[in-house]
Amino acid sequence: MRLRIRPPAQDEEARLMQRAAHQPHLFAPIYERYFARVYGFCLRRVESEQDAEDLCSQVFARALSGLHTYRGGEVAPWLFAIARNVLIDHYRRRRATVPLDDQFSDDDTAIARADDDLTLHSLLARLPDAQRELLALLIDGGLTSEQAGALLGKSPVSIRVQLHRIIHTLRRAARLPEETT
Amino acid sequence: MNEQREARLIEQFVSALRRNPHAAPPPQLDAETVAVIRQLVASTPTPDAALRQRVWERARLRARITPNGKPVQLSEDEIMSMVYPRPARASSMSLLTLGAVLLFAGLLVAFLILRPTPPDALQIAAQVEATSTDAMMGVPAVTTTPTNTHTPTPVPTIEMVPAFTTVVPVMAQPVVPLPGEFIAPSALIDIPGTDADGFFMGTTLEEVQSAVELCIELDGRCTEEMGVDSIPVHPVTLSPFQIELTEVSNRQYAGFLNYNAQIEGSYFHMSGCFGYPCLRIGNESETSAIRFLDSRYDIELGRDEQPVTEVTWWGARAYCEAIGRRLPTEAEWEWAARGDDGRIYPWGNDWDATRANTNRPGHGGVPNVDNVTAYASGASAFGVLNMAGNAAEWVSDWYAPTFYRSTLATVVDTQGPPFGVMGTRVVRGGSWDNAPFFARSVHRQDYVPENASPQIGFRCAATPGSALFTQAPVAAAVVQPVVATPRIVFVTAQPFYMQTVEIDAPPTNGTTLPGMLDQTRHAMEYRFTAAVDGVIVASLLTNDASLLGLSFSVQRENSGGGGGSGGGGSTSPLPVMVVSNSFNVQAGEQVSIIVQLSGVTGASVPFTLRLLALEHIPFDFDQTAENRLNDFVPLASYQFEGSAGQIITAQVAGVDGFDTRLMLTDTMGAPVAMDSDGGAGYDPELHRIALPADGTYYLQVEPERAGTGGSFSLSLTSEAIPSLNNGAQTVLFNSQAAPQLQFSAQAGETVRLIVRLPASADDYLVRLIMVDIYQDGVLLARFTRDNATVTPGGQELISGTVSAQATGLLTVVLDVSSTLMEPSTQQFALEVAIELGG
Repeated sequence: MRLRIRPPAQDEEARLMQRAAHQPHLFAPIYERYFARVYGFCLRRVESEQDAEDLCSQVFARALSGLHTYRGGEVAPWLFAIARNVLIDHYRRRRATVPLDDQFSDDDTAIARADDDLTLHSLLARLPDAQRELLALLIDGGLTSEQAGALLGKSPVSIRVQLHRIIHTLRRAARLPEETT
Repeated sequence: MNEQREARLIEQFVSALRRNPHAAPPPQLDAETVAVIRQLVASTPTPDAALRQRVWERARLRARITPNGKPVQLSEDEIMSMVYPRPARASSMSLLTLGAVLLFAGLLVAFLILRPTPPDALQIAAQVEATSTDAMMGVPAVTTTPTNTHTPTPVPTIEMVPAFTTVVPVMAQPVVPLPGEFIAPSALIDIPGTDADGFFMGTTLEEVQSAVELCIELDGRCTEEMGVDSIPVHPVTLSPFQIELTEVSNRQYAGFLNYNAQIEGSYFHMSGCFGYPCLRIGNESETSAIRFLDSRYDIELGRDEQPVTEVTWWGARAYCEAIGRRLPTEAEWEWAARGDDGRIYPWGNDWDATRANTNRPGHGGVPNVDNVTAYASGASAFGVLNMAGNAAEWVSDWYAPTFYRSTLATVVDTQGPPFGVMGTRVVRGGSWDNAPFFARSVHRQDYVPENASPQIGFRCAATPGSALFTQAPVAAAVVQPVVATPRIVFVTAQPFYMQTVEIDAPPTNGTTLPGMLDQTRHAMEYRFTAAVDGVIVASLLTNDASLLGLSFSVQRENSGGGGGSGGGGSTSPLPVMVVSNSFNVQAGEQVSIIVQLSGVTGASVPFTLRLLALEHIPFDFDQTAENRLNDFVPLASYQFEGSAGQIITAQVAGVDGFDTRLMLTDTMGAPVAMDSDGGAGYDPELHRIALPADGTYYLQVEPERAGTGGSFSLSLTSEAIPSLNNGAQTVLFNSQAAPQLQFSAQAGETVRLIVRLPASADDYLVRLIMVDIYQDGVLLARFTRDNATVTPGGQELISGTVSAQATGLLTVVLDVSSTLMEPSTQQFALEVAIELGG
């Protein structure tokens, strides 16, 4: 049997995180690995590059300050849990102007009634907030349904089915033909 | 189609697209669904490098982490003003004045750069600047001893070409040039494979003994023990490979750093090589030829073609992989050095001092290395240069002293042991500072891969056809090597001005020092003699975001102390890395703090340095201390004496929710452990930390957030070293030092020691366990296990016997390296037991 010389990425991340807990600047490689994903997640959720940039820096600042809260295992769920909290705080501060819909909803009537602006951007903007969040976690954040499920308190099957429904909702809204099978 | 099944297909397709935008969809998904998924994934933004760097800097500032990883003492307002810098609000008059002064300063700099500059002129320049810009910016000039100095930097006679602005347009394709284009890597030499029976690697006891005799004749200090790890001779079969003709030079390595710095940002060298430091630069180690100045790594004058040293194993590996090459294995290195006739030195079996750079201690902090192309007469049978001496060389293998006796040593293209017994990697070839004994092609040394040494460099190897950057192979018959001409001329040196001021030792109520850096004064050095044993708290304050590039360093002169050794008096400088905003000093010690401009071009940067001295407070086990922190006393340092292996627990309880951080440092102020809220609520606790050595330790309490204050109490307890006479003991490993156990035995009594996983443990990947048994400070036995196997709970890992030398206590020291910790507890448990008289 060939001996395992190189630990898998998850072990490598855990080891880096352990070192970073004592020397925070060693968090840099984790940052490199996750920056684009966290930034994408933030941008999808706020739709403003300036806000996304600022929120993304807040996410990593909280991560840096809270390295001791990491308890081993995969870094992605830990990091995106921080990102969610940063986003929730952001919405709370802006509650007056940005409605926050924290509930999952299968109600796509608003989308079904979409006007002629059928770009993906405008369709996404009309999704319920929880669906946008799920899309951002799965598409931009690159989380698996297991990871997203753990984060959102749902089963992986439920997450997958939600993704499936969102995509079919978008397809209908874009007036694409319905699947026939 | 079943909804759940389709949902899974959608997820799989999303995942595939994230890895490869052209991934084919599962055939079960209809075209419209595929189109929506493709559109969604493609709409994920790809942020550029500048944004990446900007966000990192903001995050770092918000988290109050310096580039060196330590917290900074800045208020929330100060941080926010740096995160969101306001536009300068200068009046038109002051702008005019600024413009005039900058124009004057610019002309002055241009004048200084364009002519050979005697030291006097530099002094004048700095003095002119000090009286003009300081006053203009409203910063009082430092009026202490005007001992302006500058690092000796005559204007180079080579062509001065800005590294990137000139090169990038020339490269044209691709936009970001490949690293090899910047580096002009060394030529590769084709090394033939061995025949099927292999070559004979390693050596004999007789050869080691005769080498020791020669070493002693040459006034070296060598022992047989130093060479027995290269015994026995064993056959090793290797496939053909390529190896670089020369050791990697400072020029090449600076190219690698600069290439990455332009993509990854400044401070790349600190953690850019797989998360580890790449090398120590000039202000971290005085022997390093590479320094970081003005947003760029460059090289001390005249040292371009010397081998890069002070490079970590990670830094060596990263360089090789960046150019599509790799580090040679230990076996490849030895084959390339010894050739097919098994020479002891690359040129033959007899020592010849004219063929290698060895045994030449450095002087004045400069290592006595020669250019990588020197000693052509010392080339190996395959034509490889400086395999003996000059820089010792990292190879890819882990180090295990008994590896040559292992069956893994004789497999085809052996890669060495799977893990290092001490976590070290192999170093080969000896260096400029070693006796010839160490330069024997069979000799093995090892070094911690994260550490750097002025003696250690490296060269790369390649598997034929895999190297991205190849030069025409050099035939073995060519004795005089030809090194590829670099395509790019790097700026190798620029004047570097530093103003030194002597200041009084900082008082306990603090002192504030205003300063200014710009292109005519790159660094300010503050020197003082510490008045008390205690802690210096230093904070760098600025409202200018461009100051992010300021580095903050401390150099400490080792005064030799009372009853010093040898010649006594002041000895070699002891550089301390710039890591802390507080550091321990001893009374009478010479301290130097350097505030250095880096990462900023053309800016005038005012700053304020706050210094504060705090005495250590004597402390002992089972004591509780109460204290108060505020703006004026932002840290409390408690001093206690500890012994190696002692398990301590320290707890802080903040009054009224005062949130604190607790750090344990050793005698030199190096952190041993730190915690911010491991205890109750937000209180910190250092739980069951094993002290690494006998000595003085300091527990330092700081507010978790700068600018806050409050009362706290600190308690410290110690656990007795567990006795194995009371039955089996469970030992917990955390990320700290090796735990100890004790047992008593009669003289001559045989003791069987057993180490096993607790029966309740899950399966562990056990990589290395090392158990030492001491009596009266003498090592009686060492048992190791260094294979990587998943071991079920309850299984015995080590057993061995030892005889007590005398009646009394024996100490067992355990070390576990690279072992996976239990994720939930970050701990790893082992059970240790003894059987007496067995």
